[in-house]
Formats: sequence, structure tokens, C-alpha cells
Amino acid sequence: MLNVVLGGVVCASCIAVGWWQRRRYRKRVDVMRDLVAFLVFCEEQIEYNMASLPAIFGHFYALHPHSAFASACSAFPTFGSLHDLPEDAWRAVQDLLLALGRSDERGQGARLAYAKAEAETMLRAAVEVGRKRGDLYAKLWQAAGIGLMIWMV
Amino acid sequence: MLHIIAKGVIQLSVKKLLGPLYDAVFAYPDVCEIRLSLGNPVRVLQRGRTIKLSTVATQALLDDVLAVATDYSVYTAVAKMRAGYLPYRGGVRLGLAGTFATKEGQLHGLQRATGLVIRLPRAVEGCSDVLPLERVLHANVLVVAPPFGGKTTFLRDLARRLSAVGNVVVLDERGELWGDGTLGLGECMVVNAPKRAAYRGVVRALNPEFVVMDELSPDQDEEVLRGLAGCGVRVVATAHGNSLADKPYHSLFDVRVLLSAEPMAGQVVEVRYA
Repeated sequence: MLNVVLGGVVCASCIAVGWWQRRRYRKRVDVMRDLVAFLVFCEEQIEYNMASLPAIFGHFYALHPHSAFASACSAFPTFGSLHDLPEDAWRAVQDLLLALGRSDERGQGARLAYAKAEAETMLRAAVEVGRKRGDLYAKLWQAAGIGLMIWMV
Repeated sequence: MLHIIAKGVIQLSVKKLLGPLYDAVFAYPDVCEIRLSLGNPVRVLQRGRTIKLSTVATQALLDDVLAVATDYSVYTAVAKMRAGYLPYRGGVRLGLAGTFATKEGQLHGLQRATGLVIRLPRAVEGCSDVLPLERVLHANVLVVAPPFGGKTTFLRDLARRLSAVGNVVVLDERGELWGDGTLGLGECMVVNAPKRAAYRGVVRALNPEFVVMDELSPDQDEEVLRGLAGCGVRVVATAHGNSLADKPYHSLFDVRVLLSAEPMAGQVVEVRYA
């Protein structure tokens, strides 16, 4: 009886770990989606009322208060930490955002288009990795949990 | 009270602009100008006195000040940078020196800043008292002075006095009179809009009795002056100059004041009533 209970606990723990791994990869996708959404928003704000970047980041955060990305960028040009992304990926995003605002109106349009293209590439990569690794790890942990439970029982 | 608020707003603006340099600059009272020149000690101008600080202006310092002044968004400031200056919050003005890019004979952008002159606005209550209100209530007023003569300070004080007795609209084309309009004295502020583009809308929609403008450009603004005068609006304006010698548009003004920078800014040299 004790083995059954312990086996259940181990199985549930393994499934939880697998779920947590998958959720990590999904959070990266969320960040990249927010980045793309921000760049679209940024383009609108600049085109319509020539808002400055700090104001645009602040406005975006006000509209998306639960977004980890919006929160980490709300004090632009200073960035907060963003644990949902690996460090190198977060640095790449920061470099992309810091390069905005350095040119005149015409140059700004080109720069935003480039940033959007880069962001969409990052998003596609995050979705692909999430699908492959996130789902794979979740399934591996599920299988390990079930295997351990059977072995213990 | 308003001057305390004004000073606070200006100091906050300059603190953000100067960053770590702020404490060294404002160790001295009555600072009116800060001059940054690449490779040279930072200079602080008080009334008629120049002080050299131990801090040397580096390229990084100049770039940092410029980044703050443009709010990290060059595209919002390019048009003004092409004119060689940048307005900042609180009426602070940055003069730009450096290597400019040109296109078809016009300034296109600032490639590299090698010098910045940061001019701080001052609110001197009572500096326009030389003009009794009853003499200017139904008059067009022109204030003439050389650079650093105190025109804008005089204009601010006169606008403050007039706003107590009538509807005042301020056409602050360069954002220098009150910067971002944070000092509500009852005036309507139209900021960063060219005078020629804004004046008709101002007359139609804002019901002004007085329109206040800084730094008239005779070739560009004469149409605006005649348009406003023709609508029965009183114009209060400033212009660069060393004398009240008659210029073509001077006939539109009933009261003319000449200021001098010697012995100090705002010295009234002459007042002429039509």
C-alpha cells in the first residue's frame, strides 16, 4: 500500500516537473509575442504622435500590466530582469530595443521594420523550440514518472 | 510661490540632464548657463562670472546629455536639431555644436556633438514692471535685446502679469518659454508648433486677447504679426537686436522696450511709446 502511495507521489512529481519545463518554454514564446506586439504598438505611436520611446514603453506597460516583458521594459532605457528568457536571449532583445530611437523619422521606419522582422524570427524560433523541447521534456518526465510508479508498485 | 515651483521644475530637469555632474554644477548659486566643450573643463556661468570645474567634458558625457535631451528618441528632436538647438523640459535650451551632416545646403543631422551650451531659464518676478499694465493693455509690445539680454525672462514676467487681466495664449514655437507648459499661469500654451501654422487656429479657437511669442524672425513672422493685429489681438513679442532702430515690422508695435546684457541681463535701456 505504501509503495502505491509513494509511487503515485513520484509519478505526480515527475509529471509536475515535465509540466513546469513545458511552461518555461511557453513563457519564452509569450515574451517574444509581447515583443512583436510592442514593436507594432511602437510603430503606431511614432507615426501618429511622434511619442518618445520612454513614453511608448510606459504606455505599453499601462496597457499590459501583467506582461513580464512590458514590466521589464517599463523603465526604458533601463531594463529590469526577465527570468522567462535565457540571459543571452534577453540581452539580444535589449540590444534590439536600444537600437531604436537613434535615427530620424525615415530611418526610424526602416529600423522598426528590421526590428519587427528580427522579433518575428525570434518568435518562430521560440515556438519551434517550445514545441520540440518543451513537449519532449514533458513527455519524457511523464514517461519517467509512470515508469517509476510501475517499478515501485 | 510659482517661482519656487518654477525653480523646482527647472532643477529636476537639469538634474536628469546632467546626471552625476549636477552636484558639481549646482554647488554654485544663480547658475544661468553650463558650457560643455569636448576635452575642456566644464564651465558654469553665474551672473557675469565664469567658473571652471575640474570635470572635463568627454565624448561619453556629451552623448549621454544628448541622449537624455532627446528622451532617447532622436526622431522626436531631429527638426530642432537641424536648427542647431534642442529645447528641454522646464524651458531649458541646449545649443548644439559639432559636426553636422548637410543635405542640399540644409542641416540634416548632428553627426557628432563636440559642444553643448545649456541655458537655464530664469523667472524674475517684477522685471517687466517698467511697463505699467495700463500702458500695455491695449498695445502691441516688442522687447528687443541682444543674446543673453533677458528678453525671454522679461516676456515671461509680462505674460504672467497680463494673464491676470486677460486671455493670454503663448505661441512657444521652440518650447523655451515654459518648456512643456508645466507652469499653469492661466495661459493657453501652444508648444512646438510653428507660428505660421498655429496662429490662425489660435485666433479661431482659443479666444486670445494677447498672443505672446518669442524671438520673431522678420522674414518669416511678419505675416503672422499682420494677421494677428488684423484680428484685433494684442501681440507681445521679442526680437534680437541692439537698438530700437525702425525695422519694417516695428510699425505694428505701440510699445518697444530695449534691453541690454550689460551690466547684467535684463537691464532696461529704453522704452518707447508710440
